[in-house]
Amino acid sequence: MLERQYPKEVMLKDGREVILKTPDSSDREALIDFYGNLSAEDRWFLKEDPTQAEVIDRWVKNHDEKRTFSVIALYGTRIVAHGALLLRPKGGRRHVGRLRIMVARDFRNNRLGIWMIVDLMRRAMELGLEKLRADFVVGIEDSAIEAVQSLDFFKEGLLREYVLGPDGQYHDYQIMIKHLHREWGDF
Amino acid sequence: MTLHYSQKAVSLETDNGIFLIQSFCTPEQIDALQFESPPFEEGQYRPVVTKKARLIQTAAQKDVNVTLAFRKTGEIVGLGILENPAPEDRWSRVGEGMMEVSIIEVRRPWRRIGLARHILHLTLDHPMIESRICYMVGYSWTWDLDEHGGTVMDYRDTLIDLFSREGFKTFQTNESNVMLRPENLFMARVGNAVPKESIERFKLARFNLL
Repeated sequence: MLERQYPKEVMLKDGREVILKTPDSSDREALIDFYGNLSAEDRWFLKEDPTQAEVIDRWVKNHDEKRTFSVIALYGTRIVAHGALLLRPKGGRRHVGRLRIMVARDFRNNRLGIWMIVDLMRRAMELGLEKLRADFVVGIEDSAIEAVQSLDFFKEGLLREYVLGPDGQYHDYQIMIKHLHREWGDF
Repeated sequence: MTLHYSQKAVSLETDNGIFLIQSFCTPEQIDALQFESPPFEEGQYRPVVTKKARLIQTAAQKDVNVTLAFRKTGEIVGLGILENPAPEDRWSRVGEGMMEVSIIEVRRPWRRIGLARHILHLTLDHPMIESRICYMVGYSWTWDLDEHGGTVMDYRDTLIDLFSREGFKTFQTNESNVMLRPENLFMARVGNAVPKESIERFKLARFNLL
């Protein structure tokens, strides 16, 4: 049912037009290309290596099996962004969704990331989630931190010198949370 | 008063009585009906239109369709308005072919009997509909969630279902009020005689690039 809302047309600040859609197995190669074309620095902080086909296969499968909800942004036939809402169907964190967004370098600072987040926020609300969590590497993803604050994410916790950068420097790890409001009383 | 467009009327028989739904209501016809402001105990909900004078003023404008649902007693129980965007509104930059469904509302006691569907259908029964881009914005702070009983996303889905029946689709826009909350909604119906140039301008307007 969530899928029926796609594809969606979005025009970026610079006038380029992208289409948001959910990924399927036919997007496998384009997703591998997307991650393969990111710089090693961009991929460094990911928990998995999506240049490996089996990782992408697993991500698409997770979407099909509703363990995640993913959205890709297409510019022509090229994938220029990938966002995912990671879900926990059971247990004490089932009311929390985690956001993961990656945008191609030449499409950054154009609000594409914001469009992806807003879209996934809507899906999270439709799924009945109560909170969204997004984690960022301080000093590397500061503009993303600023962007999500404009969407009412707030700084919930900071893990000091938690992440090791490719240059051997430690970085703080910022945990951001957004409450998803379901009713009037929450306003 | 000269009518620009012919009126249409539908009589709806329900368990709650008979309702007449009439399009292109004239100021004189509206003046002859009763339009009461709802009582203040209706929680946080505040209807957008509370005064009959606003309806009369709107109905007097060229091209506008004020559709009303009323009882035999003359009591207005629901309304729909299709009007031109305000000049300062970003949608007016698209050109003359834009029209907004600015109001679609049924008063509390008369909900869930199918009135909204009929009101919207007649509101959009405009002779120029195929050469117009009609749009609606849904801001959750105007929704009667107390009475609806569901979540904001349930209410949003209700609106999407209602407008989808008339050929509306959801569109992305960075209009600042729509962007304020994720459940806010923007939908539009592009008539099949709308020129390509207008469709392109509409797209640019949605992202404030016009």
